[in-house]
Amino acid sequence: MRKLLKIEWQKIKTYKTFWLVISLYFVFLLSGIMLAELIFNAMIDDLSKNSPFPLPHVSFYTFPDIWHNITYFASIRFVVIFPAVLVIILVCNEFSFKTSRQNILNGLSRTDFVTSKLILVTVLSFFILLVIMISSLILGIIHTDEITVQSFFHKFEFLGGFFIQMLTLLVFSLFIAFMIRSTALSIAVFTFYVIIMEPILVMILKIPNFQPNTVGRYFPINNALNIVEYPSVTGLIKTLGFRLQENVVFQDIFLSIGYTLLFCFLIYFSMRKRDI
Amino acid sequence: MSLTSILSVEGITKRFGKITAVDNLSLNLEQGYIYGLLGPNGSGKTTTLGIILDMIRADAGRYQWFGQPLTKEARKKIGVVFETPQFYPYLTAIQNLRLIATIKDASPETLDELLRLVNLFDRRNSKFITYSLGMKQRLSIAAALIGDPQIMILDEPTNGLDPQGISDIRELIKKINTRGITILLASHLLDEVQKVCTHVTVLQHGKKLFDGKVHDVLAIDDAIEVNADRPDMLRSVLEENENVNKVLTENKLLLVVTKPGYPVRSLHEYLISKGIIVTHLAVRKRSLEKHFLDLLKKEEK
Repeated sequence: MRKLLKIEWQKIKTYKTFWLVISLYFVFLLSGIMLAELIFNAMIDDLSKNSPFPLPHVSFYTFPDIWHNITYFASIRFVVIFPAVLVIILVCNEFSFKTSRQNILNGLSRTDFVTSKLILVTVLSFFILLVIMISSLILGIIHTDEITVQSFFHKFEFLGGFFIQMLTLLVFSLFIAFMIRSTALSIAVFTFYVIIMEPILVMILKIPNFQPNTVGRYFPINNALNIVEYPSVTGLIKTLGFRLQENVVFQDIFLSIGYTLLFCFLIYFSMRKRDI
Repeated sequence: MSLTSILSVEGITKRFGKITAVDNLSLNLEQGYIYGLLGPNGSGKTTTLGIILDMIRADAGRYQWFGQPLTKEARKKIGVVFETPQFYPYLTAIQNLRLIATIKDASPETLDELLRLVNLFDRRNSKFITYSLGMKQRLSIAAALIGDPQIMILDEPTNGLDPQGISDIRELIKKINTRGITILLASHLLDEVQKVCTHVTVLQHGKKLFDGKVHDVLAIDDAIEVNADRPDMLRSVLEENENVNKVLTENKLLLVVTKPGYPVRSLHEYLISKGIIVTHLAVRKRSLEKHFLDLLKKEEK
């Protein structure tokens, strides 16, 4: 296990593309998080002009809601696609450089090779979680007037939900990369599925009778991203009558873990069967 | 099977659609020798290597490394050098080798020595992508040597190299063999196999044509052209000599194939002693390539 981690680290340690994409992701993510409240309140001010009563400003960064708000922002499709694309690049590189073959000739088993990539995505998910946790912590401490143990840990579960969601997504990108093996095609298929195909399918399935929860709810990416749903930013949205998520739903978590295991199995199976 | 058996292959067969790439091939490699796998392009050399390295699944047959099935532990004792070197282009030479040492559970301390052996020590901190083909191929050899392998497999290692590069690689192979490492070299160049190998297996259409020691299999019978004032008598006199294997007629000349080691001078003296005045005497070297092609052609019939 430690050896496989060390191998992956040696592969990415001086890989500029990796550090460039991951930095872009964090810059994008963190600046998004910092600006979120500002943008939201600007929108509210705009709405207030036509409103019969003044709309209250939201507080994005107070405990315990901050855990939910920030993990939600970090799970927007256009944001999560960064680390997923990064994983695709790393795996497809191995196939295009044929280093996957060389790794196995040098004494990694095919199973080891897949396991090393699973370790990579687990560590990456954890690292992203850590960055989000620390930035939320700092922002929360700055913006919350009175922190109690209860307000601090309430909704802490969204961090766990976010981790499962990120892991599912990255294992899915791993699955695409191992099946297709070509960088450009894998990124195209992944992006098309996540950004276009699944959302459209989910929408079409909702159309006949406007049910919010159709079978589309259980599609792998949709399900994973629904682990952290619209946050209860403020009483504002509640007053408008939207149903809002208060907790992580365990059914979503279990289904996501199920998908993750299924993708893992398919990757192992295909690596055992295919020529390298 | 002897204790020193490195690789034994029994009846491996691989079909790609209608084409049989490898046809019931058996091999046995013993420790310390340099084996050549010789055959024209498409004769199944690379497929054979792919099968014994478990990159391609065979349709039939078995193989054993060091008397056992191929495990990842056994792989660490097999160094492999392919026609195209495969490394991480963005890593430097030394970083690439360190990574391989991690995979092979080998000590990184020997890496500098290996880089010196392949004459890349001064360029160890350059990225792999900046290397010339010859340097890449030498780095492959250094990589294959990590972890003290018992055998090194090379697939067309000199393809695309300039004459200096070719000679560097051939010298390296011989040098490595003196460390007691068994070599298996796949090549379509007869000349290369002759210069480097001790044993050879000749492949054609995936079938084994010959195998044995390079000396025996690729022994070149030099023919001696002879003519004399009395050709009719010359032939019968030559056929009486026990050192003469064959007498062939070619145009107005006789072509004599003698036993190896029988000097032309002795043949001449023999003819004089029989009272024959020689009017033409010349040694004709058969070209190696022609000999190789002859071997293949003979088998086609």
